[in-house]
Amino acid sequence: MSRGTVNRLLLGVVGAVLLAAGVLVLAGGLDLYGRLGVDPPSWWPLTSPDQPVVSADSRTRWTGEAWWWPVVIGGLTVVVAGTAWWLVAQLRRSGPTSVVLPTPGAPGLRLRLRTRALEEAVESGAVVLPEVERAGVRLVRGPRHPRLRAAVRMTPGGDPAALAEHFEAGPRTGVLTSLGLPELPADLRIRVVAAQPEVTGRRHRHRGKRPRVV
Amino acid sequence: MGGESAVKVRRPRAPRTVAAAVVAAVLLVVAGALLYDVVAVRTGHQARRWRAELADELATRHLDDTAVLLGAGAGVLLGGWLLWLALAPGLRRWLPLRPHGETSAAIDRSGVAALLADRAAGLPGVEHLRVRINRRRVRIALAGPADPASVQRRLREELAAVTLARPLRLDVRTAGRRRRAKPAEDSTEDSTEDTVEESVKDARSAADGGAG
Repeated sequence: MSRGTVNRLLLGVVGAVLLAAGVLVLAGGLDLYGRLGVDPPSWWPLTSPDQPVVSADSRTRWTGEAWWWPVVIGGLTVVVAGTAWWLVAQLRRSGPTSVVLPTPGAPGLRLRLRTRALEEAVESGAVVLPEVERAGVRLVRGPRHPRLRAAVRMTPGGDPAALAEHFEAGPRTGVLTSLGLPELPADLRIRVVAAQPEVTGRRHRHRGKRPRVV
Repeated sequence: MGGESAVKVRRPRAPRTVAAAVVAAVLLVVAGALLYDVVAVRTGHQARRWRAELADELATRHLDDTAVLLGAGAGVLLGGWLLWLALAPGLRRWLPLRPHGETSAAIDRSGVAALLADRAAGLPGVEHLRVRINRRRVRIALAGPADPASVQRRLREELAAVTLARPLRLDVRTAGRRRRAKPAEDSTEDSTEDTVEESVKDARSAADGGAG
């Protein structure tokens, strides 16, 4: 599973829990059950506006049981470890550190190429394309194969369709064939350099050496 | 123009790194503090003030208490927002192009606006223009003696040359020369729309090179 999928799954779980808890409390506190004439089953929590959110009874219901504290401590430990891992995963650079190159005709040989070398090869191929001012390339994990992610800045008045065509036929196909990789799909993000117009909006932020590859 | 039908492409999806980092950090702090205190109490120490107070508040405040209702409302809003972040594709600034082989390209929305503005500024009779663009349509307000219909025809060619996977609607109309009518309005338009404004005094020198 890619990092984006994990992030979306966990964000969805946290959001759903918050939403469900909030709706339960609101429904009980505003007495929606009484007003709408709904009769919740007897085990349904938080039904009456006069009851406390977490009463002392419910808080200490299982504290006498032998299994309660080990379960609480174990569960909290799992949550702490899991969120620590989740947080670190956001800060780390995603993507493989190297790619395995196929070595037909040399069965015992295992060839690996540093990701950075591959990225630089594509980058230097992209930056010399016509109408490209700057280019940044990163290799990210894809569903099956690694994926190139390129961000380029096009000169004003350029032709984005031709640029995509040149990128496809030039750096991408070049690296693909010279390394003999089975597949190397690419995402290309094109920004247009402003001529010198008066611009309002969110376009002033993109400064720096290379376009940021998201 | 021919070939303006929408092409199905996989829309890029944002990885939600920042949102995930923030939620993970908050959960880590909350769960870590709770774990620390539970273990402290289990090993014979006193519970911290915050935990005792929290348990006390939860046990005494009833569901129709204003603070409880406000907290629940905040929880509903926050939870709904996180769910939205989980489900919505994001990356609204990027408009996908038709695929070229194994390369799926996308162009910055304000970049499309800049391309159109550059093209329109070179047309005769255009003195000042403002391009506003969102995910569905481009609206261009012109000032000058130019005929909006012919400008629209030229710009439609330019827009078709971008080969967006889902073509944008294009509206060209003439506006009065109220350049600084409502600058405040522009700044409140957040990420759902980009605006490019150009007057021909700036742009003519650039356009001369191409036309000459």
